[in-house]
Amino acid sequence: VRQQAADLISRIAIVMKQCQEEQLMGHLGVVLYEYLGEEYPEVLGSILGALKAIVNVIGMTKMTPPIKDLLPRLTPILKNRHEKVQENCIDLVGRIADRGAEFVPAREWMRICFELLEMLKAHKKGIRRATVNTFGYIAKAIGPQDVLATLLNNLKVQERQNRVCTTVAIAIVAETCSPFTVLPALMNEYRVPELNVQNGVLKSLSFLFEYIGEMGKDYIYAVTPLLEDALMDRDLVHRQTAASAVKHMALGVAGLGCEDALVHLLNYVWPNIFETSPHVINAVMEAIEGMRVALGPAVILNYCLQGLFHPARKVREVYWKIYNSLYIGAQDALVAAYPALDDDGDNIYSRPELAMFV
Amino acid sequence: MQASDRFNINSQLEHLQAKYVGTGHADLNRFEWAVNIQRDSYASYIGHYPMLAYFSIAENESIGRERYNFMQKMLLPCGLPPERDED
Repeated sequence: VRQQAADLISRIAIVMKQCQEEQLMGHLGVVLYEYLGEEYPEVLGSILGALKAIVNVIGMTKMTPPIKDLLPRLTPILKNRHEKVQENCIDLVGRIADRGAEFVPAREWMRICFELLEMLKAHKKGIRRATVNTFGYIAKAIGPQDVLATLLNNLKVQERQNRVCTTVAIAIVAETCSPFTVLPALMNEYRVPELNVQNGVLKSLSFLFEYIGEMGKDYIYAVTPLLEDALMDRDLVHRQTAASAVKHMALGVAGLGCEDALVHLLNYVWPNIFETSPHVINAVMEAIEGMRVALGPAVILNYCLQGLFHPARKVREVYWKIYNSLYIGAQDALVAAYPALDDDGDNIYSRPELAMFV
Repeated sequence: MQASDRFNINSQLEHLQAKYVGTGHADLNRFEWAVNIQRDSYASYIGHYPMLAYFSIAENESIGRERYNFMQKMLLPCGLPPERDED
């Protein structure tokens, strides 16, 4: 019955708002607040949903109980393992972080950040996404430095999914607070001589450049030395993740005048074309396709010509694979870039039309 | 490379060749590649009207005649294939 009553409050909150019943809504808020000690997860989830509906309707400033009293009670609930409780709680916390972050002291937000790290391991994708977005809101509220310190420490844990979600959260914080607030700490973390931390940094950079797209123009030169080092690393995963970062970087800044840095990075990506590991070679091939978009097909074709007719078949296979991707992606543009082949006896290879001028 | 991968790659390559005529493979020789280059070039000349008009002015030919010439060159653009050295 308590669960159904809470669900009913969720449904009728908007209607009661239209009927000018804000005072009653406030009273219901206080009642629901008292029930946050509920033991049954289903009921607790519904209560949280109802509180969320009330907060939406009344607004942050007029909410009773006040936000500064409500949020501390939500912090321990974040530990709850039940999916419905987690989902409703993270939605409510995210809403408060988005709309009313200033009502809560920074220390409380930091405590919530630690709890949110565990939420990153939730099975349900919506919960993980809401958690990541909440990191962005909290970072905007209290500044990225504190949130970032928490997240960077989390890169050292053993759990893989936890690390992956942490890298996504780092990218979200960078997008929310502007990359220049995050990149220095992130790049400095790369100096930790630990595999998981370095791979986490690279993956964060990959997500970061994927999110910020054209905004990445200003950060290419800062990040290039780090990617340079990663692309030379003996570890396969370093080079794979770095190639993925290069791909997103190239696609994001196509046409924005960063060709010098991109050619430099291409020179580090290119030797990896002979890798046999499926993930690595896929990442490298995609990086080269990103470069085709950013640098133009002519540049990639000139790299490709070095090996199209190499005497070793293994080498030719790799180069023809790249050529085929290039051809499929930009066939018409290649017409201007094909090499000038001289006639050979009875065979005509030259293209005199391209030499005509009026 | 696994046997299944090898088989897969060959069929993938055949599919690629059928769909995109100008793509190549490790055994393509210089002549065949040059033929693809020539055909792509003529296709581009015909397909971009300003290019066609430009060539017409340069050669003092009508645009229709120029287009016809390019389409004719699509057939054997590099002449007959060279004799294979192995034969």
